[in-house]
Formats: sequence, C-alpha cells, structure tokens
Amino acid sequence: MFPYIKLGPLTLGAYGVLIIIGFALGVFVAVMRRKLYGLETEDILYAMLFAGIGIGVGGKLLFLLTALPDLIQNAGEIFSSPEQLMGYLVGGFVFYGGLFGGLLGAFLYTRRYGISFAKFCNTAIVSVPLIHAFGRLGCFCAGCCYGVPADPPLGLYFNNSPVAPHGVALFPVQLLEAGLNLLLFFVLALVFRKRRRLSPVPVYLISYAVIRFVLEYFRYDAVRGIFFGLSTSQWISVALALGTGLFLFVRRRKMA
Amino acid sequence: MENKTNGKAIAALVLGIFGVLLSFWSAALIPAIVGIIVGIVGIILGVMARKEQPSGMATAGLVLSIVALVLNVVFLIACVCTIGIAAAGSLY
Repeated sequence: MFPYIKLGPLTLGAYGVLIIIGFALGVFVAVMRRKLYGLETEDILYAMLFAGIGIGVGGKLLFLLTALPDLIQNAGEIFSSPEQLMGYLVGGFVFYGGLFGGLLGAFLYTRRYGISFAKFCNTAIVSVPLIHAFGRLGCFCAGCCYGVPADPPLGLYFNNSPVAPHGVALFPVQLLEAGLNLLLFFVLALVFRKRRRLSPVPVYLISYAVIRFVLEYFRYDAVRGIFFGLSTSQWISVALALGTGLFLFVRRRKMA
Repeated sequence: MENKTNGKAIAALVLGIFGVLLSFWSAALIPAIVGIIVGIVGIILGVMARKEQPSGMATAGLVLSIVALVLNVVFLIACVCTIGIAAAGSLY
C-alpha cells in the first residue's frame, strides 16, 4: 500500500518505521510492568535490546531455512544476480524465528547477569503481540505477507507494493492479524496486570498458535514454504500449542 | 579488568559513530548491512560495558549504536520482502 514514507528529502521504509515504533512501545510496556516481578528498569531495557537483536537474527535465519530449497534449486541464477541475492539477505523474516531468536537473546542476557529468565518472560511477553501488531501494519504498508485473492470491497489492491501482485485484489490478512494481535495484547495486559498463579507465557503461546494456524489459510505468498499441506508456520503453531499444553499438563501433575 | 571494560566502552563508541556514518549511505545495500551489523555489535558491547563499569563513554556508545541500528534499518528495510524477494517470487 504505502511502502515508503517521504519526509522532505528523506525516504524511509514504512515497515522499518512501524517496527521501530512497535518495539519502542513494547519496551515501554515491559518497563511499566517491571515491578510485578521485581525487575530493574535497566535490566528490562538491556534484555529487550538483546531480544530485539535475537528477533532480527532469528526471523532472518528461519526465512533462509524455508527458502533453502529454492536457493539450492536456483543457486546459479540467484548468486549471479546481486539484486536477488541481496533480496534474500535483506528481505524476508518469519515471525516464529523472530520469537525464538528473541527468547534466546533475552535468555543469553539474563543468564549472563544472573537475572531470572522466567521473571523476564512473564514481564515482557505481553509486549510481544503489541510489537507484532505494528510489524503486521508494516507488512500491510509494504504489501508483503499478502492474503488470498478477494473481490472488493473486502479485497484491496496493492499496486504500489514491490512484492504483492499488481492488479489483483487481495484480502488484507495483515490488517486482520494486526487487529487480533492488538486484541491479544489488551487481553493479556488486562488479565495479567497483577501476578497470577498462571504465567502469561503459555497463554500467549497457545493463543497466538491458534490465531496463526487459522490465518495461514488466508495467506497467499508461497515463499513461506508448504510441507505436506501445511505451511511452515502452521507446523510450528501445532508444535508450539501441543508442546505448551504438554508442559502445562506435566507441571500441573507435578504440583498436584 | 578496568582496561577490559573501558575497551568495550571505547569499542561501542567507535562502532556507534561508524554505524551512524554508514547510515548516510544506506541507500546502498552493503554499507547499510554493514551498518546494521556494526550497530548490533556496538549494542552488545555497550550493554556489557554499562553492566560491568557504567561510564559516560559506555552510555554514549550504547546510545549511538542504537541510533545507528535504527537509522540503517529504517532507511534500508523499505519492505520486509524486498525487490529481490519479488524477483525470487518470479521463480515460482
């Protein structure tokens, strides 16, 4: 839709601006929640920085992994074209890779400086859907991660997008996911505004896994990889929901 | 120990300044990618320096590295799926 933002002589990437704004708001929310689990502002800030680096690295690595079959199959053409090669290196991120990378980044920080990783996760997990919502708004502006063809007014044309097909009305699944992420953020922030016996982490993981699994059926960008009828993210959603459920079940039995 | 920590603060400051300068050439891919990497390393070193021995230099290095990363990301990543991915998409 609007891949670029022009500020005088400067041309900014809309996606980059939105993800930075979302991340800053996410850090703000995490800092506001710090007293719930007794963490210091400085540690929240630094752990979030490490998590932010992990998000970028993890999201990129998972994207490259899903694109590996194409990279291998068309290696000659891709590596002989600097534009295509840079496209793979610069563009393309998978949310789940970012989520796991972010958790790893935060884990490395908390482990190094003797802070409880569990407490950090309980504090900061509420920020994740907020940051993600802004990221999806960025996707909407850029026209990437587009939805299935749909007739107007439900379908929108992304004729300014360097990625989405032109002249085809597409379902704005990015906006739907942004809205659902925002809703999830408000629910988590409201329900877990006080410490509860149940951690917000499994609630978020299972909720998002369900959301993502369903939304994947409205996605139309083939680059994300399809295996045995399900996309990469659907497989991860299934594993995440089942794994989290199993973890809760085992933990509950141990505590009983 | 003190020299090691100061070294991290100095490195963070140098990388932060370098990263910000690179952002002026972010329209070119390679300087921007280098700027992002430089910003990331500067942030890590800046945080480590701030935790081990807080100082004005460590703070400046951390802040400049964050600014470098933000500028390079915003100028470069115009689209999470760039023109190169669009070209790759044409392979399907």
